[in-house]
This record gives sequence, structure tokens and C-alpha cells, in this order.
Amino acid sequence: MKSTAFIKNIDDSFKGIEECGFVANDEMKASIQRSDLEPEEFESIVMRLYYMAADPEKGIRYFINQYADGKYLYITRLNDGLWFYVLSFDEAFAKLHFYIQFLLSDEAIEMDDSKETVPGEDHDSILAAQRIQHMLFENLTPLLKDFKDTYFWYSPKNTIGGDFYWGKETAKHKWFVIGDCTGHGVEGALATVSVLSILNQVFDDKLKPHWLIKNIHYSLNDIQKQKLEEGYGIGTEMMVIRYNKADGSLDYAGTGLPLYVIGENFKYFKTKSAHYEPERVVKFIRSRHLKLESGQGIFTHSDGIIDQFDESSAKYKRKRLLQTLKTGKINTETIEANVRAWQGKMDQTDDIVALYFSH
Amino acid sequence: MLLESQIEIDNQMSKVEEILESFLDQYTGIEGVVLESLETELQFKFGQNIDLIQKYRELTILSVDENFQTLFSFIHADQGTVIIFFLDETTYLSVFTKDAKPNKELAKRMYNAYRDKLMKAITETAEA
Repeated sequence: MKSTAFIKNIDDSFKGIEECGFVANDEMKASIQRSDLEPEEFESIVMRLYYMAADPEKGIRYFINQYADGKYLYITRLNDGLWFYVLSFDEAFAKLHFYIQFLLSDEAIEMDDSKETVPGEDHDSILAAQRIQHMLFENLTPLLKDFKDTYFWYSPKNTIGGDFYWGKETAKHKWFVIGDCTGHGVEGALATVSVLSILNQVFDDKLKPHWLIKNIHYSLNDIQKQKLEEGYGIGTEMMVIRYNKADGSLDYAGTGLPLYVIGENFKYFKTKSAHYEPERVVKFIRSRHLKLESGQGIFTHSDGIIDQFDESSAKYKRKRLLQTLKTGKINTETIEANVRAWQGKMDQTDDIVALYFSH
Repeated sequence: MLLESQIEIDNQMSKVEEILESFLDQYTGIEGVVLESLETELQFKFGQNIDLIQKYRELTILSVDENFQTLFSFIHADQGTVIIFFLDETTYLSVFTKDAKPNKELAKRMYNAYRDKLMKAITETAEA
């Protein structure tokens, strides 16, 4: 990866970066300089620390200094003689550290001599991450093929995202899970990897859907207890549906994500969000049983649809989605096209995942 | 009188030691702790593994700058991580742990739990 692309990737992903650059061959090469610090003053401290840390006998990989005014200085060794530093006012240095380690996990930095940030984006690492994330996403197409009508929409805000989907077919059931992990982009994607890994471990066809949610929640808690807090936590909202192939009934349980019965007797089922009182919500969560009549279907989605902003900063909101859902016509032209029309020239606000199938 | 004075100093010294021992006991994975000052000869060492702390002492001192008031530092090296907490501008506590990750929340908890009681004990020691 080119050094300029590396810098741009980090600057795009983290707010508050005042200065960042490389120290290569004993020379400081700043690529972003927004700080009002005296350049000599800042260079002096970076170089002093560099000379101490660069001593090969010390074996230092990185160090971070947090200062009283909230800023921090992060310096990490990329290879022998090449170090990268960041001065930031965003205190989330643990996230920055993990992100940089992630970027460096499969690529070396190739220095180019330009000191300026260049336009364009090096997506190689992110595309590699996308491939890994998609390996964990089960293909829902085979599970959906026997339903009368289906619709599935997955659209991360960035190349990778925090929304996820999963499915499994057993002798008796078809299982569908869609979810929304805390954050989007790399942060969210890393959370989905954790959640999907746990989901595959705790899945048991004999359990009702709410037990899948409970077990995922407990496992996530265990992970985070063992490691204490590392500057952030992994949280997820999800909808778990267990469809009974024999009689067309289903059991579902959810945290935060809604479920709608489409067709005659349209219904909208809310589920309690686990964001604010996860222990309480998970403690009392139960599965609900539904019997779908012929022609009825179910629709569920993450909040990326209703939170989409238009060019006047107004949200799409649930009432517009409900108008579409009540027509009973669920497809790309009615769901995605309406959201995209609302979005206009705005960026996508959040990750989106939505699922529909009718009996 | 001399004996009483000596006993008083010893008691005060053991208070700092007690706090540092309780610090070692409270947090798992910590193998060494050193309390010292940039200006005075104050120095307490506890734990099995303090070599790495001594090895990076210069880096800690160099990271201090009058315009960069250091609150805490993480130095991660091949053998483990040293977390340095500045109790004031010149007094600092260095902690060695095998944990390889910059655990900011843990560092904050340590800082909040021990800064005041350590500073109080150090001040009392100095006044004794």
C-alpha cells in the first residue's frame, strides 16, 4: 500500500487527526498538518521519542502518550527504520491502533515521496476484508428458493459494514438472522465477525429463537469481561426467525429490529432495543409464534432504511416504509428504489439489511 | 525521640507500600510496578518483573514536555506492555503487564482508583 493512500484511509476513518506522517530514515515526513502547534516544537518531541523507540535493542512496537488536554500521540513501528505517528484530539486511540494493525495485517507500506495527501482511495485492504466478511455471510438464496415471493437487500454504507445476515436449513426448520452491530465500516465489520462466529458456535436447532439471542449476548459479554474494556464494546441488535417447513408457522425473537406481517391483516411487531438496558431486555426476551396464512409474508429490516437522510436532512422514517409495506408489494422497485429516491445525492446514512418472504 | 521519629517514617513508608501491594493484587496480569519521580529520589519497586520498566525509563522521561502534559503512556514492546501513569507532573507509576493491547479503560480505572490515595501517601511520606 502506498503511504499516501494509507494516510488518506486513516484520515477518512478517524476524526480529530491534527498531524500524522512517517519518520523514515531519521527524517520526519508529515502528510497532514492541521495543528496550531509550533512545527519545531512538535517535530522535536516526535523525533526525541523516535530516537528512543527506534533503538533495536528496546524492541518497541508502538507507544501511545495520552496528554492532559485530551490529545494523544501514537507512534508505531511499520518496519525497520519506518515509523508512523498520529497526533489526534479524538481520544479513541485504541480504535485507531486496531485499525492501523488491521490495515497492516496483509500489506507492507510502500513509501512514496509525496508529502501531500493525494485524491483517490486504496481499497485493496478493505476489499480483502469484504471478501473475508462475505465468507462468513451464509448465502440465503437456497433458503429462500421455495417461498412464494422473496426480497433481500443488503447494502453496507461503506464497502464493509456492521449489518449482517445469516441462515441455516435443518431437517425441520429454516433459520434466518439479520442484525445490526454497533458502528459501521471497519468497526462494524469487525463486530459482525465476532457475532457471526459466536452465532455459528451457539446455534442449536432445538432451541427457540430467543435462546439464540441470549446465548450470543452472554458469549459477547464473556469475551468483553475477559478482556475488560478495550476502548469500545461489541453490541448487536438482531431478528431471529425460525420457519417451520412442515406447517408454515414461524417463531421469532428480536432485539430492536421489527417484524411486519405483510398481506391481509397487516401487522407491525416492535421488539425492545437492547442498546440501553441489554441485561434487562435479554433477561425477559421471549419467542413469539406466528402462523402465516397463504399469501401472507414477513418483512424485517435494520434501521438504515428509516434513518436515511434526504438532501434537507429529513429522515425517511417508518411511516413511509409502512406505506409501501401495506401495499403488499415488496421488491426492489418498491423498497430500494423509494429509499434511493429519498436519498438523492446524499450518501447512504447507515448500513441496510432487509428480508422478506411470503408463504 | 529519634526512635519514635523513625517509627513514624517507617509507618508512612509502609502505607505507600501497602497501596502498591494492593494495586498488584487488584489487577490480574500485572507483573511489576515502580513508583518514582523525575525530581526526587522517591522510588518503590514491587513485583517479579520490573526489568522492562527500567529499560524504558528514558522513553518515559523524554515523553514529558512542558506543552504536552502526559497523563499516561503505553509502551508496547516484544516482551509486554508498560503503562505509565503520571500522578502529577513529575511523579509517575510504571506498570508492567503481558497484555499486548492498549487498554485505555483499564488504565483510566487504575488511574482514578489509585492516583489520589498514592499522592496522599507520598505527600505524607515527604512531610514526615
